[in-house]
Amino acid sequence: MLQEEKGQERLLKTIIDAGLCVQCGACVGHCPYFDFFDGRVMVMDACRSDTGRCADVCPQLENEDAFFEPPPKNPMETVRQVFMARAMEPAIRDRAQYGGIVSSILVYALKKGVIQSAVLTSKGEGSAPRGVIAESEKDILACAGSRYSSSASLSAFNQAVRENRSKIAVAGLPCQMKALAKMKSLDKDTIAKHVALSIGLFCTWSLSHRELNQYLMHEGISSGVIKCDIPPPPSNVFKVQTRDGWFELPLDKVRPYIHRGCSRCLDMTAEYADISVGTVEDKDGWNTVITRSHVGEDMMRMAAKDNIIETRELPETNLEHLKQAALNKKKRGFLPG
Amino acid sequence: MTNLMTNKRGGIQALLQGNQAIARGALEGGVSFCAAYPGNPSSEILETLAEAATCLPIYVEWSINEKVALEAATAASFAGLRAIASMKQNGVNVASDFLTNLSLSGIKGGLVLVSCDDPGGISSTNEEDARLFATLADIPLLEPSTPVEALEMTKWAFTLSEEIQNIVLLRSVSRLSHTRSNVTLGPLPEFSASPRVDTSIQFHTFPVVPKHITRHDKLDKAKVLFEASPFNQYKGPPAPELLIISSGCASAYAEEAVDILHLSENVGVLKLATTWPIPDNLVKTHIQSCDKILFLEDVDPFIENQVKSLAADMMTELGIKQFFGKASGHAPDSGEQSPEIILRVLRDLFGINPEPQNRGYGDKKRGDTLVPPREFGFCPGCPHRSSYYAIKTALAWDGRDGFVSGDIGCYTMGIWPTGFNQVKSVHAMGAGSGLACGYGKLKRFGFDQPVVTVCGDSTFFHSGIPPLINAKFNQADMLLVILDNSATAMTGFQPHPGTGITAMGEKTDPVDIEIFCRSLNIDVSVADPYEMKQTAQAIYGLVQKKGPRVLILKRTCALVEGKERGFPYEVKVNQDLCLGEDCGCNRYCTRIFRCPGLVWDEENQKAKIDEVICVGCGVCTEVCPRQAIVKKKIS
Repeated sequence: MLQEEKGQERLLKTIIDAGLCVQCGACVGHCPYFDFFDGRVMVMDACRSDTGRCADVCPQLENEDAFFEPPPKNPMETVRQVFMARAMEPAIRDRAQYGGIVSSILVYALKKGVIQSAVLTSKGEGSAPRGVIAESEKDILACAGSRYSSSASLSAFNQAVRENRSKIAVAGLPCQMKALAKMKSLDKDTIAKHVALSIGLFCTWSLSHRELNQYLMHEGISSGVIKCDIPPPPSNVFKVQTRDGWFELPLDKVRPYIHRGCSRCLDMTAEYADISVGTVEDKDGWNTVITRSHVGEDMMRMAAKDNIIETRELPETNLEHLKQAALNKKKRGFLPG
Repeated sequence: MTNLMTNKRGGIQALLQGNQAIARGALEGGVSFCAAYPGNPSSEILETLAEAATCLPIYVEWSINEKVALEAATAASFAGLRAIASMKQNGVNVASDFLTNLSLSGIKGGLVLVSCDDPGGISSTNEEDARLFATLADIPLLEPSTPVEALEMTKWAFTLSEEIQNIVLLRSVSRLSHTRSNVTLGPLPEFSASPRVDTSIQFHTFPVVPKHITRHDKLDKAKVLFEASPFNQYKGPPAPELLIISSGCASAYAEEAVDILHLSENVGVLKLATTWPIPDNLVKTHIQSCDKILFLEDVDPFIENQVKSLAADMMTELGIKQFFGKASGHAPDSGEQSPEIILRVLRDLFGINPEPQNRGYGDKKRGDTLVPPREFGFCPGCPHRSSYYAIKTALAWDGRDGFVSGDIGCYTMGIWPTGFNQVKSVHAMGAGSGLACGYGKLKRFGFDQPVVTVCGDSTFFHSGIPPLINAKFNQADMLLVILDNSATAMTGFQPHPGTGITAMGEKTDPVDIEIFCRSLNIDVSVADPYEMKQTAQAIYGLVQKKGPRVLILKRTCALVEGKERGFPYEVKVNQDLCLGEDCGCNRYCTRIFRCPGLVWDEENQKAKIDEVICVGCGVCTEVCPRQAIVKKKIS
């Protein structure tokens, strides 16, 4: 098999210039040639190198030489447990999008010394959300809530690695979990050892910050976005909260600003994470939780035992709908169009 | 030099540059008023006159552009004083609207326009033959070929101008302007200027047609004088096999080539110095005795076309002639003429093979491969490098294939790697801004590429102001970045309205560019280009906006700063932090940023600072991804 060059040039040609970048940020922070600015990953200069960490870790770029085991083929991949859960702490539940599981698990893990820092996505507050390294409960809670546009937060993970941090937690989208898995397999002695916990978020698609912003400005929403929400079907709206209050926009008008790269993604439930977290249909205030590794399973068990979270069985219908949704995303992603 | 230039008695020999000879010729010719705009290869003329003005009762100014320079000089002429305006070929373009009207209205005191052309465009954006303005404006044209002639002919030009009552064009080229040779100085006249505009005369161009006829009559008068001019010289046999008709430096090369090839018995060289209107009779006399005529001149077939036209008129008398030159393809129709080129032309015509050289000669010629090719580059510490780096960063962040509309000055080099290839067009002074007015109205057709326009402080005063006002008036989406380094740097640091001092060393109230732009009631901001990241963020933000916007990047030229104040830092590359080839950055600092003070140490395979070249501005510390470049403040 021809050893193809796999560096910035290939990444540019097959992913970035082809419009397939999903702004995960895995390529940002290894070198001066990539940057993340105002909601977008940009190539700053041609590096003229034949190989590159950027191409090695891009989740959209397939590896012909199998660096790592692709996951098994069932719709939700590796599953140890699936259940419903929510944070016990009311303060956390108040700031949460749904059940507050991500925030409460991270705060708990920090307090127990399992992690020393967490790579999360900032709120943005008017400017583009971006990756941050949270080191305290306050930092973690400041990031609570869903972002609907990509933040390239793995650039913050790369920064954490450069700073020689250990016991790092990473919360992110399925593409980011996949990139993280690539990074871990490339660096089994360092990166793999320093990532203590990975939490993946269910995701159907993500929006381009700049284009969404332009559309919002066009609609007269000029002050910065604080929060977004997409209520479940049959509702077909995109809700945006700014300092001036909540606005509702037709979801179909926002769909053009979904990253094109998302249409190729096969992973709705974050198959490469230790713990995957999402909503529960028809049950506001709760999260669906999937544990996929012993690290994830242990963490959830300890948290339940210490009364940090409340758990319940996930109803059969919810589980079936979740499997169907995950399968649908695979079908959409597998057939280009 | 002031002693030589202001030496009243004359009669001494001096080693003078062509431009200095022109300046001295003007002084010997009784000039009182001198105006110019800097432009290579003409700048030394006014610089020399400005120095002389410290001792002599003359007035010398750097005008804001060449049109105003010619106009200001002409006012002195209208008031009866002798005046001179000097510029490079492009300057004549700028002054041409006035020139082509002036030659209709006529003048009073002797008025000379000196154009220093740049064949080959060695230091210009184009290669242009300003002699054509003589035919366009119907004015006499003089072409000296040596510094001696430059002095003599400039001096005579004032007399000629007064005799025919019109402006005279004196044309030099780079080689003449910058060559030095022995020149004998003449005496300086008594300077007695008492300007007065005779209000019984009207210096206007109406009625146009009769004045056009008068203008032709003036030319005829000049032609009579040209027939007798001692500056037109012939060297060669009475009936040569080949007659070379040449002018300027090309005639010197022609004589040299004839000498080298031992063709002085076969070839005659007619060196014309008064080249428009052509002295018909003189030329006819020489053409009559020869059937083969070769034209050698810089740049266009100017004399070639005039003489061919003359020969066509006189064909029944002269018979049929064979012409060689640019039209026939024997002489190159672009680029500078040179002795080598003319040797080749003559060898071709005479079927002479080049003399065989010994092997050592070939090796010596190949020695030019030992000299490494060098790029054009900004000086170490140059604020333009930082400005372009910030622009590059901002446009890369923006991601919509933005580009820079460029202009003229040191920052023209933004077209090359030293300016990160950001600049995509350069034409005339102020053209970058003019183009921007057009780009700024393409949005309605779906154009969304961000355009950043750059303009230096001197360029802005020269011709950057009208397009900015146009952008305001027509509501163009124009982002003008004024690179204010407080200098007219590229041409040699001549003063301009913003520098607070005149050509004659008088202090003035500087024109503040920021205040001026704000007076237009548009978005104006100021930043320090040395702060590259902040400047990039400012540019990124500005690029998202609409309408005319100005960003002034204010930082003194590094050469000026180095001379006047020095720089505050000692900069070093920490050899432990720098990972060299193992970094994976692929030599980002030296390969991308390219400051000459930052070099690659081939021995250690790491980056390092060249202490001799580095000035200590500290800007490159922002560039290294590992922060291996460090700066320390020195007292």
